[in-house]
Amino acid sequence: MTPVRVAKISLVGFLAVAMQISVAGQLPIAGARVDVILVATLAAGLAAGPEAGAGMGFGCGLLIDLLGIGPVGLTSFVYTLVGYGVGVSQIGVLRTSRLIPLLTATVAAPIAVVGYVAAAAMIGRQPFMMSDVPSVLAVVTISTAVLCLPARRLMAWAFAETTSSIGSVARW
Amino acid sequence: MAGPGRSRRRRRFTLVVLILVSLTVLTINFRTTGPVRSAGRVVGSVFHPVRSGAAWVGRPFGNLWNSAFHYSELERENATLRRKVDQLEGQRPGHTIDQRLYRQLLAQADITYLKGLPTVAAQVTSGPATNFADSISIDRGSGDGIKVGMAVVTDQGLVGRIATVSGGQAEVQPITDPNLAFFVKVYASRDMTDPGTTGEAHGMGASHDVRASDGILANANVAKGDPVFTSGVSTSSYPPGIPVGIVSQVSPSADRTQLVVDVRPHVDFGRLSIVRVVLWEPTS
Repeated sequence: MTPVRVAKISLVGFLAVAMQISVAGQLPIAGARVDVILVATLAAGLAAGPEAGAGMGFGCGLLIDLLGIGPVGLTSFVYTLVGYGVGVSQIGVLRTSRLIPLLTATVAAPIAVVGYVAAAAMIGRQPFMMSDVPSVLAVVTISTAVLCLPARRLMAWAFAETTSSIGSVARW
Repeated sequence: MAGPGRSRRRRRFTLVVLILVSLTVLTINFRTTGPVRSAGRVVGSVFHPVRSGAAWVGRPFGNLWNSAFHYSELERENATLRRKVDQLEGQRPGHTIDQRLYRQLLAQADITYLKGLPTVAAQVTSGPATNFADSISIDRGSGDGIKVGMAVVTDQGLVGRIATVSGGQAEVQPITDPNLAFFVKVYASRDMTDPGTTGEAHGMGASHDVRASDGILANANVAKGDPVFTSGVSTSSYPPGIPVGIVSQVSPSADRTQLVVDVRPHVDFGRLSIVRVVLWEPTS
């Protein structure tokens, strides 16, 4: 991995965390927040495969855990699995279509939320009340579906080895 | 060029390594908070300018956003306030009596809200960043004498406790967090001889009431509208007498041996801007 590529991936990851804490976190919709970290994780998996998805989920998840008061390592654990899963789901995809990554992200987003709640429950934590789950699921799923395609283009740029390969990765 | 089998093995190896690192961090965090807290301090310091800058730039947009998404709530609140003003203007003598009773109640319970306790004023830099962590960031830290566990208040009442702290900032765990339990004392507003009923309360999530569901027996003298304060029992991390809220609902527990008391917090968590950290630590 070239230093330029590392720098680009780090920049995109930093931007995702900064966007989460400064914008998405501060503008709740029906009590729930857009999950930029999840969007970045899914977009990385969709654009550059399982390792990229897992790496982005791990890195951004760990940073957001360290910034909050929840159990450190839980978001990175769940989002690593989600990013990897989304990346693996795209390996066998041969046709060029915007619908496939869109559908994948729309399905993966609620799985990530439920996965986090389940993992938190296993270690005796309750991230939010069950009555808030529908609004969180709705906001996260819809916002992820809206943002995943532009985010995938950004991730394709970040994970591309050279300038010439941007187009081929972005088109997928 | 790596073959498909080798590529698959490398992917799985990466996944296993990342999962193991996450689980190790999670385990370390549970066993000892030292290294994780140090890492958190570093990350917090790196992102502190982002948070502060965004808070400064984004406050007008945030207000606009809240107005757009909570317009009906604001309308209701406005109507309630108008009704209250009308009631108060028509009942001035009654208001005087209520205030006297309230003062007596406070005196009887030996409640002197923050009297003599040192505090540090802090500005709220941001609210919860994600759906999974209900925390509030403030712009004061260990350099101002703030330590983990200290109570955070406003002139309205209890906000929460300091969860993590670094040099120039701290994270506050609000009382609405389902993972925060604390002791409260409910005083019967209509019985001046009531010594108060102590119970353990916990959050029910942002924008929900706090619930005291442990320790308040079924025959306790608790009713809707009763004031609720921090209890100050020996194991409590808060000084006694900090206003928490007003009883909004009382119902029997499933086994009918205790009462489930819902408490509407005095503090409006959606509009926090300045808070005070009480520099008080339990003696035991």
